[in-house]
Amino acid sequence: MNRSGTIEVSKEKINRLNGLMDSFCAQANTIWAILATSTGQLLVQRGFVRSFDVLAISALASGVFNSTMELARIIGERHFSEFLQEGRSYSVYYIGVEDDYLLVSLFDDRTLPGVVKIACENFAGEAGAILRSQA
Amino acid sequence: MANLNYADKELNLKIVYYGTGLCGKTTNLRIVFSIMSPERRGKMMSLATELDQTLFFDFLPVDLGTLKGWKLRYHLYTVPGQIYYNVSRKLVLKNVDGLVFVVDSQEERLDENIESYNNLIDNLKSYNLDLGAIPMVVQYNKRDLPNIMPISDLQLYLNREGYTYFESVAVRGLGVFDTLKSVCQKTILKQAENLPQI
Repeated sequence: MNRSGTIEVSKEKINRLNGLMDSFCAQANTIWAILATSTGQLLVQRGFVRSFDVLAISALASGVFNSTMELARIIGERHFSEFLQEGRSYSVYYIGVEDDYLLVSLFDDRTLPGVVKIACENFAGEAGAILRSQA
Repeated sequence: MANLNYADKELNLKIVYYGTGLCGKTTNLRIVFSIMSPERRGKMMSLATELDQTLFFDFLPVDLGTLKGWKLRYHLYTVPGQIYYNVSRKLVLKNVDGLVFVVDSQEERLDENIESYNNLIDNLKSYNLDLGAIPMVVQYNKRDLPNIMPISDLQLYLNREGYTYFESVAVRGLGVFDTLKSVCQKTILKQAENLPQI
């Protein structure tokens, strides 16, 4: 975030995040994944996103993530920054990236929640480093 | 919080329609959705109760031209007006770039309007913000109803700071786009000086 309170993401950072997202989707075998700001503004997307309204998904995911964080705060839990919505056919994994971003990934039974979790955590660490960097 | 995406040359801004329950916030978004051409707006998403009251938020993305080579995308949100949904209201307000405070002009709703205005100030405070820091316009809605208060009285109770205001009948589309244009202009003006030329 810059001094005026604006999140600025350079083209070079987006390119690096795109590369990272490719590796993540391949590793986790997700159907799609999006990286958005914590207020739901989309940065990077991968997978079969054309079938979905990604702007609506980003806004909803942001609402889900922020309300879960608020729930964590109310019950006195500080580290509640990743969670799973598990369905019969599809599941969604959420993880916070730094303070201002959010990775959301949709997957089915072609992968395992544990694999997605590990891949998400790796992604969050590496994406955080890219977003923190000065370039 | 504005988001500058250099790869897509997009500036994303968040506008929140705030106000008491059933004052017309969702109606504003529905009118924008119904009138604006599909190329310039996304799908409207509404999380509402069975009684059509907003449960979490309504959401509508709209594209409103370019500035200095940047494509301007506004994310319009409403908050749930009912008093018991304050946590949701506060969450939607997070990182807001511009505000529309929608007032129900009916005399019997004055106390609720004032309560909502004070609630807005309190919720902004929780993010270390004050109203002076966020571009805002006031919309006096339901001006077609018989039991409305005069604008001068409403100004006295709800707009002593002198924010730009509009009279509206949102259900008929009157004043909806004037309000939207004004808040978008004010919001982008605040960003413009820091916006690099592409």
